[in-house]
Amino acid sequence: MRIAPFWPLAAATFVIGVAATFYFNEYYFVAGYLVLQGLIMATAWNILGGFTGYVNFGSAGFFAMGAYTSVVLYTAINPPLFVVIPAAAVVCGLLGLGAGYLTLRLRGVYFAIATLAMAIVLETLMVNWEYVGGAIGAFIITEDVPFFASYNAYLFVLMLALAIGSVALARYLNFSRIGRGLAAIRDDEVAAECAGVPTLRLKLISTTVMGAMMGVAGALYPYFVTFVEPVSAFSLIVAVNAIAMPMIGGTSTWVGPVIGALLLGSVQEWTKVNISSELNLLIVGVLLVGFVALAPQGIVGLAQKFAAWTREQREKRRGDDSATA
Amino acid sequence: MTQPLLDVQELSKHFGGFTALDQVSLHVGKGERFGLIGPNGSGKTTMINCISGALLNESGRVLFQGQDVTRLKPHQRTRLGIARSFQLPRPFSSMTVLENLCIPLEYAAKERSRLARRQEEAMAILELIGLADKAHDHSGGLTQIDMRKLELARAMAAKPDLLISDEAMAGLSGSEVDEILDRLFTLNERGVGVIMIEHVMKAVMRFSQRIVVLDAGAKIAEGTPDEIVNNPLVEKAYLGE
Amino acid sequence: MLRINITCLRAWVLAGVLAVSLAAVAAFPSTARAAEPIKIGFSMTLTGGLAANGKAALVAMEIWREDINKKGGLLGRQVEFVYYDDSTNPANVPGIYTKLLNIDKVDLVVSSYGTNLIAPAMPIIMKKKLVFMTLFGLAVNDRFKYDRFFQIMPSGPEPKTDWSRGFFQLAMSQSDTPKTIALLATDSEFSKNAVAGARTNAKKAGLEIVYDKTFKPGTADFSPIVRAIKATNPDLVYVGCYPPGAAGIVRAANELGLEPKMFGGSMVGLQYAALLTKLGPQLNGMVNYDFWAPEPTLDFPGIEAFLEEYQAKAREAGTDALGHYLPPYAYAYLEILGQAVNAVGSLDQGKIADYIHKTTFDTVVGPVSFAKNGEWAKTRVLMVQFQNLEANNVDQFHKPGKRVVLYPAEVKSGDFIYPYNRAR
Repeated sequence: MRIAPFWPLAAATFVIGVAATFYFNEYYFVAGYLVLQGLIMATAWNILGGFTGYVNFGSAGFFAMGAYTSVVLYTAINPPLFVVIPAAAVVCGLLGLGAGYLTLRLRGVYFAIATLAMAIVLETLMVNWEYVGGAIGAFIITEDVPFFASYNAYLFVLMLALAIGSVALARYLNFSRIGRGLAAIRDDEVAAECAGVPTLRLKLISTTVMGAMMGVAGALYPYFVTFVEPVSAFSLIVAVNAIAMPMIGGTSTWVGPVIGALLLGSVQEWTKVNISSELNLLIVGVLLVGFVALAPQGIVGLAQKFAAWTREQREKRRGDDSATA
Repeated sequence: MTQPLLDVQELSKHFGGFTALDQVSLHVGKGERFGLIGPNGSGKTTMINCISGALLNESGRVLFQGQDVTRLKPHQRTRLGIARSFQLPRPFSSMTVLENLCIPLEYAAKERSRLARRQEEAMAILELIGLADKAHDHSGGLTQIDMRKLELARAMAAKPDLLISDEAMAGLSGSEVDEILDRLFTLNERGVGVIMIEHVMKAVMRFSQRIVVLDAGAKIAEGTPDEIVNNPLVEKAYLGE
Repeated sequence: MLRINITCLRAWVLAGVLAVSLAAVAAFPSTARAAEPIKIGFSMTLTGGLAANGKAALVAMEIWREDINKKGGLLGRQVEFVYYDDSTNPANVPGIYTKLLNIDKVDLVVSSYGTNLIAPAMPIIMKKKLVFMTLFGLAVNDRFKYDRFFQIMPSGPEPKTDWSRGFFQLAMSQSDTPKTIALLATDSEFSKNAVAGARTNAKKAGLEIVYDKTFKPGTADFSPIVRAIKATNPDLVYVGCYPPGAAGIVRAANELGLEPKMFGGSMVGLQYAALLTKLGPQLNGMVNYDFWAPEPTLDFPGIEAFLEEYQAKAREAGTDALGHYLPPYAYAYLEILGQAVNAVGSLDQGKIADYIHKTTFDTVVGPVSFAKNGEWAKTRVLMVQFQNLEANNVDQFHKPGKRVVLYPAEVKSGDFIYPYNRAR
């Protein structure tokens, strides 16, 4: 499904985003940062979940390891962010590769449980690692950056660039040879293998890309929240959002996670400051259950059905018109 | 003597304590029409799973065009030229009929090609199999016989030298069986070797040049259709004493 | 085809104009308007892991708000709170404080509860150079070294060693001087820090450390640990832990007959009504930290009235029945902020900060003055000894004599029963 030309739209979004940071209140960029974080996580999850058909419950693990990569680098050498981000991508990409290699021989439910177990193992390791603060956590001190209205505006712009990059990558995968292979695996892995698709290799590519992307989503988290500790880094809301956003938006293409993230993310940010933060999980849960039960193809699916329905109606009317002509 | 297309040597496969295949040997010549029959549970499906790579046998060898493929993964064997259809059709249900064929055309092929070229080749195969008018239909919503045809078409799209047809005709009507058989003959005319596994006896007898009969994991007979039909061991295996 | 009725259209336009005019009139501020309220903004752990304390703090803070408003408010203006639930999730804190400052435009800010929720707000607060009263964080300002930061937990200027200072002073001033000590800590932030301080103090006092281990937060069975400690026959046992651990350790110690000369330390939870009532006489003789107890030496002006009001509201809010631990401090830190604002006569954050730094305040938790790093100038972590507790009696904790204050000297309210087994 192709929307209007992607790159011009992406470039325009970026420019508008940067300009907006000079006019609007800082609060919107703090909220916007979290929405974009959700968008990257959703896009990443969908590469393994929607494109390949393997449900990952351990997203918080990759996200948190991206954050902890930042913490380790900050504690050791405090490098600039353009070093931290690729580092997190590499670490979490390797983590995705390794996790994939260990778990992809399992099918369906067993794979999902294995991913959850992996996240718990990682959390336990971080709780016990003194270098990153263990259970106590680690502080990050940030400094002002030139040109930007505030540090949060700077992080927002970075996140916007990373989000656009992630979506572009997902879009490329969606329509590439690899994407077609992944779709075949999702539809029927055995038939795909027998049709010549190297299923294990493609699945590993999928988990590696997903891991790297989630690591990137987590890399800036310590700078955003200035205090990283295991319980909130590995939090449930991160993992649940990563699944709910694509499922609500639609899992078969790169567009679904974007729609789901923008919608669900905004609702959550609004709820946090107008009602209560705890309600977030409830909202996500209810929406997820609702969509899975009533609209499993997500918003994109509903839109496609609607488009098909209006097309039918138009054709029927044309038929009636020509009949009466 | 030219090497056979497929040479299975003393292949054994166990599932825990159960022996599904016990040192079975068979061979298929280039472009040969080969039938594999036997009562339920005799090991036919296990055999083709071992040939296609879905299962790995514990002992014995599988040689394809002289190359030892015993330890190769299924997708690697497909690329070398072995294709199979599934007894219960397994279409890529999110894709159209045409897109289903484009997958093996892309992945089993020996070199990369442009999308337009693949779509052309896919249409050609659909014409051959009789699904051309359904090319852009969703593969999940086809009739039983069309799904069987799609299975075969997809196997053909891998451009195999050996195609294994696994009970493609089960439950079809007389005319439908003839349709499928017709397609298989056409395919064979192009030089593709075919292993047919069937319970529909008239089809196997009409189609095969040579037949191997399995019973309880062992080969009990081998020969032309006439020889097999008159073989008392075969009759006993199917009907009992 | 939609045929537009001209009369219909006119009617709609008229209705629209009317609606807009009414809205415009309503939006204009009326001339006779009350003075704008002063808004104090904060996030609070109303849900999530620290919800019990967050809700208790909020109850106390609301009581302060009512009290100050009865007296005329701050700078003659009524005080309003603007707060959001941060769900005990640090990631929510930056967003909440930027909203408070940039959109809600609050006049003053105070913190949420706990180190993890205070720290993420620091960069934003520091950027805007605001006074930041904080509620129970451990050594947060060590990293930031912010000069407008104030901490109401009475840990003292050197929190890590100050915490256990009293325990060791009491121990080493006995004629039957102890020689050995066992150290036990939960593997988490506060406990490890407290026990680290205890270790330093123990070495300084020349004690031999015969046991020094940590246990995982989820531990349920403490018998093996207590047996191991008992086997080393220590004179002193110092423990740093959280409520589930505290209950488990006390029970196991009672069951297995662990009887050192002095037992206790920095066990969180032995200040809460629920645990105190449940453990009752099992606590007798233990010497543990606390922040306030109903002893005559701690009867500061206003504390009785505050506790009465708090306890009445606590039943409804479902928070700690006694309210001796956190609520008085949540009230006090707003008392201090309020007194400073009124004394300075404006909302100038710099002047307010200076005033707080150089003043000793009279609050419901006694006189409070701050060191340069924003911590209490002198530690007021109490060492209390549980004496003569009865089983299943929550009322006894409202009266003096049950949690006898032994340290610091200025608020000592009774004699130390030493060794431990004499109090049982």
